[in-house]
Amino acid sequence: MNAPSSARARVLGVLLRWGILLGALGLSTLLILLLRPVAIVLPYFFFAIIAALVLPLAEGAVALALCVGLTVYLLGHRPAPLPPLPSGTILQVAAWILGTGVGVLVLTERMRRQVRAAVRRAENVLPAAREHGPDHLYARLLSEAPDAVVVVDSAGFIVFYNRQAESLFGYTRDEILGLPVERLLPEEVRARHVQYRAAFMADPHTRPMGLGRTLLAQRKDGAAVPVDVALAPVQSSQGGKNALIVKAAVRDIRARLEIEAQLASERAGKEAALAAVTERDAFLSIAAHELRTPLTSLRGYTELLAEAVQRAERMDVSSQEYGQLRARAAHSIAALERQSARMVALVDRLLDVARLGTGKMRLERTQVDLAALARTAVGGLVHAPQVVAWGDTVVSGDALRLEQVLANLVDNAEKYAPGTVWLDVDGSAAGHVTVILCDRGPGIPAEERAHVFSRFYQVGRRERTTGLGLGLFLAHEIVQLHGGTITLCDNGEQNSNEGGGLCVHVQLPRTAVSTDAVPDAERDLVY
Amino acid sequence: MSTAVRRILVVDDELEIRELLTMVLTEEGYLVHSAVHGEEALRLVLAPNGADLILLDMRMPVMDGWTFASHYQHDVPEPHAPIIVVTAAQDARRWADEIGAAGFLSKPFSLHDVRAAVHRFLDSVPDPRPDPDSDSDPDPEPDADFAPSAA
Repeated sequence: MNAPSSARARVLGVLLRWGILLGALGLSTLLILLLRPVAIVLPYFFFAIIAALVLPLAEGAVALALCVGLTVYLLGHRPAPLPPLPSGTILQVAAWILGTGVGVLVLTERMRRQVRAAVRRAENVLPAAREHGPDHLYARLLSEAPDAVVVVDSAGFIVFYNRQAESLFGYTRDEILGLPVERLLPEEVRARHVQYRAAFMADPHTRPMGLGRTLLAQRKDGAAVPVDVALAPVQSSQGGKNALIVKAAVRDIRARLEIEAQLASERAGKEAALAAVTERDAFLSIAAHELRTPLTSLRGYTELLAEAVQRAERMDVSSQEYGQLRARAAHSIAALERQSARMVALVDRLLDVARLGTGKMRLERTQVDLAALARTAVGGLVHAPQVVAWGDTVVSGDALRLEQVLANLVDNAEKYAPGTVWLDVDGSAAGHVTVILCDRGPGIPAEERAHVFSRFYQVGRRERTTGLGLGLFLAHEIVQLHGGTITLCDNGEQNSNEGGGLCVHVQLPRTAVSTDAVPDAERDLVY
Repeated sequence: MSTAVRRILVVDDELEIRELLTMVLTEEGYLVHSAVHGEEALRLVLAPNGADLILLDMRMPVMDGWTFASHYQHDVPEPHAPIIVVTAAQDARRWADEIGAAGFLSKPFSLHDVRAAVHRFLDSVPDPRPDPDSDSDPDPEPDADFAPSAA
């Protein structure tokens, strides 16, 4: 229940009690008027006792005063027909004094008991204060402590409550002392807290409360405040009697939580930046590694060429040796050309990645026959497979980019499953064309498939040697730019005892879906 | 050359690098075989006249250098050939230590480095096998002209 509705319930309770009491009072008055002298005071007599017993102190006192007032009034203004009965009058006065007296006695006794209990509790808590007075250093240390301090007795009643607690919870000391500590908690946890309290009392030791949970305190105004609470049991010996009280230090952690949230968001920002830098470093490292491979050939064949030229210039070179040197030079030059072209392609791919990252890759769409592209892609293989195509295999797309995709997929398959690659192009569907590329290679473990299209991913770290880990990433991005999908699955035609085998399905819509790359904040490149 | 022809196994998935190393080392008078990946290399070292020196790339498809080295050291009856790790990675030295290699060459290497490394290992390690099996080591004819002693 929240604060406004519990306040409403309290008001309703008071109104109900007073409604009943005033009804009873009216009934008593009616009886007095009807029954006349003998009964004149008796109803008030009972009414006063009942009111003192059932009502809270303050309300009991008001009810009692009301009775006294009414009795006095009625005694002074007796209706005329009422025959005076001397003995009756004495009886009435005696009954009135008796009734009122008992009521006052009951009320004062209850007040006395409450005051005694509060004093007893307070004395339990503050032996120092009891011995040295409230101005003593120890008492002041506690009441002026920077944390809110609430002390409860073994039954869970608040017996001490310092200045910080007043400002944290909004209750004054007078309002809260002697009440159950659950008053300071949100409704929904009060019942549970009673159990926690019992558990603590069974094994009392100094500890933080509610580890791993966010604790909420409830202020007088109903607001919930996140707090940290540390508990410390204290044995207090009062009058030779041992009693366990519990000191709770309560700290408002709203400011701390705000700072923590701010720090967390800053940390997340830093981590993102760090991840970007790490990825860039990984990229540079892989790029350097990949460029070194063609560079090795360039350097080696250049040296070989230089050596050949040097030898050919010697005067004593035989015609047979000269011929061999020429052949060697020609071979070197061809290798240099191939490796330079490879480096150019490598640099192009790096630029493609950068373009994708900044959303600058544009497609130049034409009508592209995927079957023809597929035949070109496998054309360079040693054992070029027959491309099987059926249906209309034309889509709207960027021919160069799609050729790049297919060439990359074919190269990849050929590298890991040489001689086992085949390609189908399925143009039978109305809305899209699917290129299916399968091999009988080792396949890709199911748990790694989700990652192969991410940048720089290389299956099994050590196994791959070339390709920058960018090939599949680029293929995936280009297909996505076309509005298509690229998926991996097991080669269904493969016998399980021959190892995995992989199928790649590239599905492209016949008509343009998305045209240009959109800058992707998540994938912003730093290079 | 006074001893039998020494055999070198070049393991690298790059065709051009295999060709380059084969050409250069054959010129130096060695008998050079090459393999595209660890699995093929393992078949070659298990053959009767295996290798006296292995130039090993590390990152290869099918079987990488680590797996090859482990098989070579544990499954081959007499793994006497020192391994030289040849890699473009920055971790060349660490990887060489990892697999217990005798040395490493970082790509891009110079031909001089390759020759020096090979000479160092093959000229200081005596051939553990008896000489007479040299009938299986045909002297490569075309390279005789390029042998250093031919000048």
